[in-house]
Amino acid sequence: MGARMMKPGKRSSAAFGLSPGERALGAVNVFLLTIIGLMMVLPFLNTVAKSFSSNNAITTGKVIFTPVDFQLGTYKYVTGQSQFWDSLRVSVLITLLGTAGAMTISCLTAYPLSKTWLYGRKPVILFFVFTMLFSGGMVPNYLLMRSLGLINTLWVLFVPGMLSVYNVILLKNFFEDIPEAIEESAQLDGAGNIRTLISIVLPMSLPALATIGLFYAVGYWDNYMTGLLYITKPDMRPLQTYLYVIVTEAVNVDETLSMDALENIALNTEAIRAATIVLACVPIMCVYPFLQKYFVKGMRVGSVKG
Amino acid sequence: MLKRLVSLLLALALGAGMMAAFAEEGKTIRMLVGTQSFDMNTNYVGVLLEEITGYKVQYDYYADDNQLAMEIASGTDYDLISVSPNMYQTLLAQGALKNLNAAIEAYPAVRDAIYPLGWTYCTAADGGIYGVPNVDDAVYVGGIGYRTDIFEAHGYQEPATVQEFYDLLVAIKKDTGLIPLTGRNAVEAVIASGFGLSYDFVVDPESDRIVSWLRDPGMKEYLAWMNKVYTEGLIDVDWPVNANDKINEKISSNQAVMTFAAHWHTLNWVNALVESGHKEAYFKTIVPLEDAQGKRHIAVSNGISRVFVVPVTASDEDAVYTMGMIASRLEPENYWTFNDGIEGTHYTKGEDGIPVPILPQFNDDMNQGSQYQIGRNQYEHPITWMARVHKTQVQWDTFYDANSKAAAFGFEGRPLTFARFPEYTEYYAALGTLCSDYFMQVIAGTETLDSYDDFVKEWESAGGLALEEAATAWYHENPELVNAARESTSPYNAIFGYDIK
Repeated sequence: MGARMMKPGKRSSAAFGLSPGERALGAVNVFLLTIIGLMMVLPFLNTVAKSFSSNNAITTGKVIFTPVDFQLGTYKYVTGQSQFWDSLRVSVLITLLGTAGAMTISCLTAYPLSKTWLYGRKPVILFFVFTMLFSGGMVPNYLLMRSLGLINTLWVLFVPGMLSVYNVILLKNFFEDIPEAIEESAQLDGAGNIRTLISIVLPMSLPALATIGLFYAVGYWDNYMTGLLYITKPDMRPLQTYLYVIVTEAVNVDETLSMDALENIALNTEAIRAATIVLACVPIMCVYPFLQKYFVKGMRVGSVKG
Repeated sequence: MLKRLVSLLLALALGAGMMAAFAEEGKTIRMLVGTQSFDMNTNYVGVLLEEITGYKVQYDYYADDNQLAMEIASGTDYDLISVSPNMYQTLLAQGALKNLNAAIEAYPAVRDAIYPLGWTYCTAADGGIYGVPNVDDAVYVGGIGYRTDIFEAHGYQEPATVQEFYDLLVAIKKDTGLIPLTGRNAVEAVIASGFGLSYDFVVDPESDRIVSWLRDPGMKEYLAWMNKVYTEGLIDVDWPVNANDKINEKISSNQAVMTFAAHWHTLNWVNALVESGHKEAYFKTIVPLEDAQGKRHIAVSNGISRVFVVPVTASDEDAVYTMGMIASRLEPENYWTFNDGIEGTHYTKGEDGIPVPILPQFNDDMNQGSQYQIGRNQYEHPITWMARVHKTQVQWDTFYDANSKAAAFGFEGRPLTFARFPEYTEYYAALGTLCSDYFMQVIAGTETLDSYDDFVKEWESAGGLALEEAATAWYHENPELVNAARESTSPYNAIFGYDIK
């Protein structure tokens, strides 16, 4: 927009009203972003291709971005593992419960903190921010979880992560942008604080809620560390922890001189890993399209202050 | 609608949480093991073991030694923990382990089933035994695998000396245009043997000290030779940057003729080559070459792979009960059953008594059997294990070929196999990396041998000297451990006719 305002005489060749310098910059940007984008997508394409390719094709290095000797045996194998289903169940459960709980807590925390008249607001915010910068570290956290009796429970997988200060601040800023007058009019109609929050503020904040909900959901879905640290029960591992074990196990197998002969002579271990990765990605990828329309709007959450 | 969904989910979550919280109680041995991709509790072998031994074991997993340390430090209530040998020494020094002498006294069968050497390793300075060891048998893992079809087509012979090996590389390159040898190891054992090298630390017969192979003049000769063949394009130009999958790719797509091969490699290679038209493709093994004195240095893989320990917090009765479970697994009949399955269903025994797996039943049910070993029955283990290298003829042939050839020359055991002194834990791995980095630079020509003496000095100050000193002191205090490691005879004698010199 700004470009149109300046130096109108120099736009002779610019179809979109950009100076040659800006066009060059745009071209460089597109080029760089394309490369970065490809760097993200191509390894994933390779993984997908491997998951559908035959053992021989993978061993001989023929598989690049498209499946060679298409087969579904790996998927049959992965979905035949009871561990996969156990872990999937755990992951779905903690993602749903964790996201629901986290959204509730975050809204209930952010809303009062968005009220400038709240007594002691500044120190409370300071306390929250403090935890963003400093934490006890892994060992004290572990001891805390143990003394709370949370080790080896499903709770430990989602309760400790239910409040992200970063998300609360985003949400707080978004709430602050909602004109005070709207809330006042609701209160004039007799709405209390809770009613105002549920019926007025939250419906007006859908873009922010969708974005933060997605942050939480992806955070829960992708978290393997919690499962690794706090869960020792094989059937209670989240999917990403299971995946982590499969991948690291496969990396170590040649180094530790596993004395066992090949386990699955028809299937390639790399393909099995690839198929598990693909299957672990699919559920969370399905969520994106539905939240897409809020997403762009939501990313601006709290960024413009009036 | 949304409300109903939310309340349903909450109810579900509550239910799941309660189930987890009120796990059933009973006379169950709680065992903590390194993480696995499968569930040991529900696996076929786990269920089978409970049936045949009557002991109920619940398996939990830990991710790494850090997590294990936290578990133990925060007062764990496990009955039995599987740890690495290094971790065993660490926990022993911390006083975190229970003395098992009384428990083993109650079940002498445990002591009798396991190699005495393993017990020596697990015995602390106070005479107490604090762990039950898994002792790996001395077995020759593999040498340089070569394509028999290419060798036959051009009339090549297996080389015995470094010169013959060199001539072979030249001939392959000239006749086939393929990469004669690919790989990634800075020290390729088969070739290094030709220069008198075996292990990174050996006993120097003159001074009776443990010294690094950097002291051996053969090392410089080896590096010079490797640099020469690298520069002449006789070995893979990617040698310094190769990864396992690249090597697999080059071999199985007919770009390279030879590389390090063990029985778990060759099946994939042969399948891929046959499918792409090399119908006669097969692999055999070149074993370590003769040095100037005509001696071959056959390095073997043996040692302690796991140690099973009881936390010091456990009661005496619990420790005895746990030892009973271990005894039940070492009992010969049970040992066969959980390693190889049921005769007739999972395996058949040949006339020689060696088991051959029945596929796919063996793979489906017994694949993880070896993960349930707690201590190894030294008499039964070598034979039961044959089922695992005999899953296909290709794998068995690779294993048999390498081992029967190596058998003719006898084994040389690794002096540091049972090493247990702090300097070993502290320096060994880092020094190994330091060496292989430097070796690789010399091979690739980015560093010349003129810097060799400087490198040795750098290595000495990085802990090399300290390690040599400590290793020698440890050797003189525990000559039996070092000598036993060096003279370790293979239990596969009967199968391969080994003659230990």
